[in-house]
Parts: sequence; C-alpha cells; structure tokens
Amino acid sequence: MKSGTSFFNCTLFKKNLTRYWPIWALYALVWIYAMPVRCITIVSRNQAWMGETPIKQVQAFANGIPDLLEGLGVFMAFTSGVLAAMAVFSYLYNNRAAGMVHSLPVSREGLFLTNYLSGLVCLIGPNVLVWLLTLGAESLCSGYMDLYTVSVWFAAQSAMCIFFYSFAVFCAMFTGHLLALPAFYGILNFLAAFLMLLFDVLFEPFLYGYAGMTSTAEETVLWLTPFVHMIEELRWTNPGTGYRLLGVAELVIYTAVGLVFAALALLVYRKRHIESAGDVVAVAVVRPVFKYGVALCSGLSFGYWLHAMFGFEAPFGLMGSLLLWTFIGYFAAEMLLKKSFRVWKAWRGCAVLLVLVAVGLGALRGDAFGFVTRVPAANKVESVVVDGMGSYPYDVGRSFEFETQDAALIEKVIALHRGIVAQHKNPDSGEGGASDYIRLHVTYVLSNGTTLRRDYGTTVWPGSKLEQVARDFYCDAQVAQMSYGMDDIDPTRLTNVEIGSLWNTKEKKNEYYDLTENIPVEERQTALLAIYDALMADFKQGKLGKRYLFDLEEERQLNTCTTDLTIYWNEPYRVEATGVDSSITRIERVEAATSYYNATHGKSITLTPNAENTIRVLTELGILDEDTTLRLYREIVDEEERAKLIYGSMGHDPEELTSINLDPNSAYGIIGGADGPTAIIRGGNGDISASEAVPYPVG
Amino acid sequence: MIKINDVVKTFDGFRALDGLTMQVEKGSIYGIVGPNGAGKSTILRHITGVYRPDSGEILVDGQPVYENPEAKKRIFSIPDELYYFTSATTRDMMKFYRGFYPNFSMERYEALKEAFAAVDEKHPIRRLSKGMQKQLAFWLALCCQPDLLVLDEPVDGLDPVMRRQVWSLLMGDVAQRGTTVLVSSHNLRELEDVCDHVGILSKGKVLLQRSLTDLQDNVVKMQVVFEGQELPELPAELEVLHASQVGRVHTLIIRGNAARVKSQLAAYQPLLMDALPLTLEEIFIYELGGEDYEVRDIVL
Repeated sequence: MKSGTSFFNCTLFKKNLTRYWPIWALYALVWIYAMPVRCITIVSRNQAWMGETPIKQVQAFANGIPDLLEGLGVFMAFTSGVLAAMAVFSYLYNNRAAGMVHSLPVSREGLFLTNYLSGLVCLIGPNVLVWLLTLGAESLCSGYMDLYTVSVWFAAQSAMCIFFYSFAVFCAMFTGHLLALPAFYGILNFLAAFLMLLFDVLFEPFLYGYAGMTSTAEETVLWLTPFVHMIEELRWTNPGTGYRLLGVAELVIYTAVGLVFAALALLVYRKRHIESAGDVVAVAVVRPVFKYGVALCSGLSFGYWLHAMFGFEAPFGLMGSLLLWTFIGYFAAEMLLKKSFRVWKAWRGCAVLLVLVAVGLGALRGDAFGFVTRVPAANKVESVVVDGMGSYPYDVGRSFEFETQDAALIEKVIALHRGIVAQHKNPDSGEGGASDYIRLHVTYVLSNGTTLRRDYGTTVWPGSKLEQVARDFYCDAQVAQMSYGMDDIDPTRLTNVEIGSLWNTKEKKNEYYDLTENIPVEERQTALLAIYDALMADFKQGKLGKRYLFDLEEERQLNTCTTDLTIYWNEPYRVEATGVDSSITRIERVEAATSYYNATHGKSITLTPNAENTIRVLTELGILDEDTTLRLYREIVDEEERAKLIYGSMGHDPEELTSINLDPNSAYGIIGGADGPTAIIRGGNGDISASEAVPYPVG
Repeated sequence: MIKINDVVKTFDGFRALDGLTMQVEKGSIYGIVGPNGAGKSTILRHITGVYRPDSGEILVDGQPVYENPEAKKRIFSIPDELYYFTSATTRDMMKFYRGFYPNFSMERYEALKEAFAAVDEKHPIRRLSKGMQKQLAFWLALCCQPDLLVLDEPVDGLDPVMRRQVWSLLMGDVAQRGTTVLVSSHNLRELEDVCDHVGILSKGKVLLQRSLTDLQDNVVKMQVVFEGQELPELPAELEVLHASQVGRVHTLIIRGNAARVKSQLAAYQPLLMDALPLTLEEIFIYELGGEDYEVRDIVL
C-alpha cells in the first residue's frame, strides 16, 4: 500500500500492530478475564446455587467493574504503557534499525505519529474490544447491559493508558538504550515522592524544627506521582445520588498532560541525532542533568542508607555518607554516559559537585538561611494552628490541637517558640530535677499570606529559661479549655460514664466503675446528665482542667487524683455506601446510603480533690463512699509505692521488696528483692518501665 | 544528481567530516574510496538522510535530502550492516518496502526470483546466510527502482558468480533507467571494473574526485633505465609520487599525462623507458601516500 499523507504511514502502522501483537494480546487477555469471563463465571455459578436472578447478578457484577480501576487498572496502564513505547520505538535503540527506518521516505513527524498511534492502538484497541465483550457477556447472561458502568471503565482506563503511554514515549526520546527507558520511566514516575521522603528524613538532623513538607508541597508531589495519585483518587462511590467515579478531574488533567508529553516528545524526536542509538542519554543537553541528577540522588539515597545502616553520628557522619555516595554516583553516571570504566578524567566535575554539596550541607548545618532561628513577629501573625502534647495530668487535656487568632495566645506561642529555639542553641538544664518532655507543632499564618511551620520535641528542666514560657502556654487556661473541648459533648446523647482507679480503702486496691453496669436503664440518663452538669460546673469554676508542666511538681501531686472519669456520647454521621455488596441491587444501595450511623466519642478527665460538684454527684449516685474514694496523685508518687508498683508489674510479690534507691533527679534507680532479682527503673516523664537486670545482691 | 557542499559532522568531539565537498553526476557509477575512518559510511548516511550534518548541505537533484520524503522516495540504500525485522521473511520485507516506495515493481520482484533463486522468500531472513541476506537486499533494491542507489560495501559476502550477477543487473539499470549508483568499497579491483567516477576520501575531506579515465590518465607508472645506476636529479615540476629501484630499473609513479611525462624524462636520455597504466588500487595507495597514509616497512 502506498503511503497516504506525509504524517502517517499505513504500512508501518500495520507492521507495528502485527509485530508487537503480544503486547496488545496480553493486555486484552487480562481484561477479558477480569471482565466478560468473570461476568459469565459469576452469573453461571451464582445462578446454579444462590437462586438470584441473572439481572441482579449482572448488576452486582457491573457495579464492581469501576472498582478495578484503582488497582488493576492503574497497574495495567502503567506497565503496558511503557511496554508499548519500548516496542514501537525500539528501532531508536539499535544502530542498524535506526539507519534503516530513517532512510525510509517518511518524515520524522510521520514516523513519530505512526509509531505513537500504533502503540496507542495497542492499548485503546483492547479496551474497545473488552468494552464490547463485556456488554455482550452481560447481555448473554441476563438480557441486560450496564452501559454506564462499563463505559465509565472504558473512558477511565483509556485516559490512564493515554497518560502513561505518552509519558513513556516522552522518556523514550531521551535515551538510546532500550533498558534505560523503563528505568527512566520508573524513576521519573516516583522521583518526586522519593525526593520528598528523602528530604524529610535528611532535613531533620540539619534543621531543628523542620516540620516536613507543607500540604501544598505534598499535593504537588502527589500530582507528580501519578501512579499513586490515581490509586488514591479513583473511587467508585455512591454519595446518595447514584454511583459515580471520583477522580474524573484528575483523569482529565492527566490525559491532557499526556498529550502535552506526546507533543514534547515529537519536538525532541525532530532534534534527536540518530547516531545516539545505544547511548544511555540520547540528547546532549540532558547528559549533564543526568550525570548530576544521578550523583545527587545517589548521594541522598544511598548516603542516608549507609548512615542508617551503620548508625553514623549525625550530622557529620551523615554528611560524610552523603558526600561518599555523591562521589560514587557521579562516576557511575559518567561510566554509563561514556560506556567505559575509564572515566577518572571527569574528576573536576566531581570535585566541583562535592564542594557544592559540602557547602550546601554546611550551610544547612550552620543555619545559613536562618531557618532554625526564625520566629515570626507577633504583629506579622494573623493566626496560628498549634498541636502538641505536654502538661499533666494524663487525660484528654494532655494533647491539644486548635487554631487561634487571639493575640495574647499567639504571643505565648511565639514566646514558647523562642524559648525552644534558645534551649536548642544553649541547652539549659536549670536546677536539675525531674524533667519532662513537650511536643509542639505550630503553623503560623502570616499577614503576607505565607505559612511558617515548625515541629519540636524537647525536654524542659525545672528552673530553666524554657520552663516559664512553657508553663505560660501549656498551663494556660484557654489552652486547657480548648484541649479538653468540653463543648464537644452533646448532653442529649450521653451514653455512659466509666471511672478508673477508684481506690478501695478496705482492700487497698484500685477499682473500676461502669455506670451502665450499675445504674438501671430508666435512671441512667438522669445520672449521666447529673454527672455532665457537675463536670461542666467544675470546669467553669476552674476546679477541673488545671494543667501542670511537670508530672512530679508539688502542686500537681497535691491537686490531682489518680482517678480518671471518662464520659461517652454518640454522634450521628452519614455513611456513603461504597464497595460491592453483591446481595442487594443498586437501588437498595442508594437507599442505604441515606441512613445514619452513630459514632461513640469519649473524653477522659482526671478528677481533682477540689471538684466539689462532681464529687458530690458521684457520692449521691453511690459511686463514692467511705470505702471507695479518690486518691491523690501524691500518694502514688511516693517512692516505695512506685517501686512496689513496678516490682509487682514484673510479676513479683511487692511485699518482698526490701530496698529502694531511686534517684529523684532522673527517675532512675535500682530496687532489690529479698533474694533478688533486681529491677532497673528507667524513664522519666512519669513513664515507668522496668526490665530485669543481672542479679544484684540485696543489702 | 548529488551535490555535497562543505559538510561538517562531529561525533563527540571527533570531526568525522571536515568540510567535505563532492558532486555525483546523474547516471554515473561513482565509487567512494578511502582509508578506514575517512568518513565514507558517514557521508553515505548523510546522503540517505539518516544523519543531520552540523553544517553544510546535501542536495539530491537540487533538493535537500534530510527530512525530505519526496527526495528519499527516489533513494534506496544498502548499508554495510543490514537490518531486517526479527522473524520477517522475504515476502514480509517486500510488502514492507512496497508500502514506502511508489516505484516498487511486483513484476520485477517476480522476475528477479530467478536471479536470486538461493533465497527462499518464505524462509525467516534471520536464518539466511550473510551472503543470502545481501542478495535479498539487492533483490528488494532493484524492485524499488530508485533513481539513486547508495551501496556501502555491497558485494561483501557475495560469491564471485553472484557478484557478477549483481553488477550486471545494476549496470543494466544504469543503462536503461539512468540510475545513479554511489558505491563505497575497499575492493578497488572490482570498483575499477564498474565505476566511471571515483572520489578518494581522507580525514573527512575529498582528496580528489574525477572520472576514472581522467584519474588513470593523470598518473602514470614509468619504468626507466638510465646509464648510471643512480636516478638523475629530476625537475620539480615532475611530481614523483613514488620511486623504487630494482637493479638498474627505476619505477617512478608520476602525476601527469603519460605523453608529457615521457617527453620530460626523455631529456635525461634513458636507455629504456616504458609507460604503464596504474590500477585504481595503485592510484589509491600512491595518492594517499602523499597524505601520510602509505605502506610502511615494519620489521617485527
């Protein structure tokens, strides 16, 4: 057949389809099995023993087809795309083939378009076939065809094929080596995510307070990682108005981007030198990008791996690892480019790169960019989002997450931020004594529209400069109020109250109380409401919810109890019916989506001896009496009591404990039993853990 | 037919073509010869539109050939290393080329089966010998009926009978259809029989190019015997490319017309003087000797 227009050649097109038939055949086979064959199998099997009507079976099957997109669909498009590109453009990677093809009377545009379309047909053609076969199978099995869902699958799958194939073709233009194509394709598909992970782990040791990528950066990385993005976004769901595919906008965008890649690939192809067949990088201007890119990625990835494997001290050990692997990566890339092991003449470029990397790392380490010490001025902050953990007692108020525009609170956050940074620069252990650990994640929204994020975990010492600013914030009444969030509780939907560590004075042990097990159903709501009202009154009067910076500080020990009260309530929410339910029709699933479910929430509050209202109500309900009381935290802070608790938790008889030697400054000590063994107590911050050690003579 | 003007091509810093300029007349059989690495295959790939020159132009019938499908429809190339699709047969390749070359002739294809009887058209090409694959290449080339046939080491791998067969067919096309043949080969003895024009390449440039007749007329081998043993001082205008002596017989390769050279040497009253024509191989060797590419006496 004679060639038609100069931009397409039928002979070459047909030749590609016949030569590379295994690609489209395998692709088609997978989908034929996943769809029409499965349809027939499911219907015939179910009809045989479940007695369901064929139409119901087909409807149920069809509704599961788009679910294949997010897993199998993405995988098939990703792998088949690159295989098709490797096939139709394989002539570029062989000198003889490239010479033969380019001596043919076809322009480069014609060659490109013909090969591109033949690869695309290898993917879209089977999609059409599977679409037809599936509709045919549905009709054959039930007389019913679910045109909508099968067409949704066809459109989405074809869109993904266009994107991944076009991107693979784009990658194909930059290399002259067949095996380098899938390598480049795979690497570029995940490079952004890989670099984000690397930067996150590498910045942390260098930049104190580094809080990871911003959500904008994460969103960008997700868009640059289409394989993951599509798996996350594609969902077949029913929001109540009928099933639809989520992620359509992403598909449309990726398809458009794919076509742009195809156009760019043509531009590169027109400039490409045919003699580059066999070269790892076929385009001269890209070679330095490849070399330095490989060097840097090698340095970052393998450098970090080496540091992690052998535990080199950060940051200098880490820096050494990074530089070593940058060096190795540089020469490895040079060897690939030159196709020779003799590449030492390129040492100058390596030396310059190493110097730049070292300077960069040094600049990070030395905080040349002012990252570590940057604290915004209060008048530049519009709002701040804070989440973190610190302060005592151990109840729901210990951790918090809120956003505020309150100027006074913002000032406290900034003061705390400054204090943490100062503590890092000049560690201050104050007077010594039992320290505690605080965590703070802060996001400032600045008046210029930008955000500043930092993440800290640090130790606070009594008497240190950090203590006061930490106390000002963590023990702030407003912060406590937001931490406890008592307004979240819906008093009309209370379900239960549980109380832990009620002290039985007779049996000398802690007890647990569950209201639903002790109060009859008809009295329950009254009791729950009474407790709720009492709690709220105590909170309002400041008798509950006061926070303390140190676990072992005197005021905390004397003004908090060991008893925690947890109050539960329900919150309704509407569930979207997702997934395949083969036992009901689509109409039934739509109706089900409008029903509501209840979620149970709870808040745990440490009681205080001053919580008069709560104590009164608990007494009236018979929960507290002379045998069952609250116990001050001070009572278990006592050394012996704590040691006994530890010894007992190890499975020994606490009464056999004979000696105690606890270091009050570090919660570290040795206790000994009557005839051994001993226990070494480790851990401050109120966390007590014990481990068996070597036998230690008692005495 | 072909005009190549000042073409430069560099590969990774190596200047393979260094301002090469060449002309090939329509209907001629033009032989490109040169030492290894002279740029022969490179210029052929430029002529077939595979390579893009860094500078300069390559015109076929006045049209640039690079990215010009119309020009390429009239050109067929048989490279030194052939390429066929994996598992393709002769018929497959025939169908393939038929789709690209508008002048492809099925009648010729059928007629040439007899000439290339050793090639089974249904047999996978990869199972054919090198020589048979070369025969296939000629078979397809002749069927495409190009106006310009570019051959790189064309008869390498062919037996003597097939060589003659192939040349016979090619020269028939030249005579009947006015096909221009551009051939690169190291087999100068064979080229001498078929070429009417020759271009000698060296270091990416054309050292000289002229008709074979002119070339042979322009260099002469003189065997001279003088009275004395030694060679007399010859004038500078007698450009002696090579001089050797066996006994009293001096063999001189002199650039110039035989009659003129004879008359100039006659002034020295040689006892014996005879002019002999040079073969193309000898012309090649002695011309390149001036380019510091001569046969060296190396004792191992």
